[in-house]
Amino acid sequence: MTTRDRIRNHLKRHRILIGGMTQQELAQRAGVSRQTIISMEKGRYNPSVALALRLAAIFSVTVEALFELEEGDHDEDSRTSP
Amino acid sequence: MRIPEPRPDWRPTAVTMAGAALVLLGFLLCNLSWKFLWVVALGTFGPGVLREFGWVHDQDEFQRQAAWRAGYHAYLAGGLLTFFLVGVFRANASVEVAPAALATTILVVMWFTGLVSSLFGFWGAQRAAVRLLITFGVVWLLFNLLSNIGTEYSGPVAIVMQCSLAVPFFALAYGAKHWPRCSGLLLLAMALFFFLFFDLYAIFGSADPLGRGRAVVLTLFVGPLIAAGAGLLRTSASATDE
Repeated sequence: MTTRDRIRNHLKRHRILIGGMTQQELAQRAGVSRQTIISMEKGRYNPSVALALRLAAIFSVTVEALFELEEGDHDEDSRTSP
Repeated sequence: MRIPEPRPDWRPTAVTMAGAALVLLGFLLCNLSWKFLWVVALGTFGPGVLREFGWVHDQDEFQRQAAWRAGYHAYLAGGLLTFFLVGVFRANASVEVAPAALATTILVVMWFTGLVSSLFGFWGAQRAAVRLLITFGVVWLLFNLLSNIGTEYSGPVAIVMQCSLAVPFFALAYGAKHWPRCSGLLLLAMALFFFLFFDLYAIFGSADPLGRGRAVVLTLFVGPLIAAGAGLLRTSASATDE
């Protein structure tokens, strides 16, 4: 059994915090389609590093503030030794 | 960091539209000669080839991933079907098969798998199912209207009755938005009904299984119903698309 990690994002929250930016506006600024933003917010798509960095730059936050890891089940053997 | 140019909301790009135009042109020219099927191939696969060579950059990373995944799914479906058919026909010499029917069947299955996978991968199961159903209904409507042009005109009552067969698809598209799982079950039931109604079960155990275009009808008519139904069953009512 391997670690299954899921990524949780806070795109929608930051869109609202920044003054109610629409998905279309965010998509245009990030250089992607609106459907890409929709899919990310619904958790159906995890962006590339480049896109994640662009999104963080748009919101003036760190990537970690936008995306965080939800750790799933762990296998004891998968833990690295110190 | 360089920010890319703003992209409009999703619309078919110029390359995609050109490809679609070539597909339509090719099918029209095929009425003159089937040699023009290469024009259809150019329209279908040309945009993808141009993108893979890096000569066209009209898709963002999400669209590219959906396209790559669709291609992989088409490869899996086409490969499995090809091995299966070759095994069946080599093992049973009494089964008749025309080479054109065999090639058409494999091509249609690959194309349909790629199309459905790209739709579901890009739009999500629910939205893709709704659009599939609406397209189905529109195509059925157009088919019935166009087939009544000229000498084939069958009268207004017959036209209305024929076109009314499109209503269930539009109704299911509406239902898919609000009651996805119920609509999914209904679609699978409809698929089973049409599978029996069109005698498509004869594809199994027939001396000419690919004859009369059964496999193509199965893929292009029953296939969308199964794809939409299965996709909707995985959707919960709370996860509706915006």
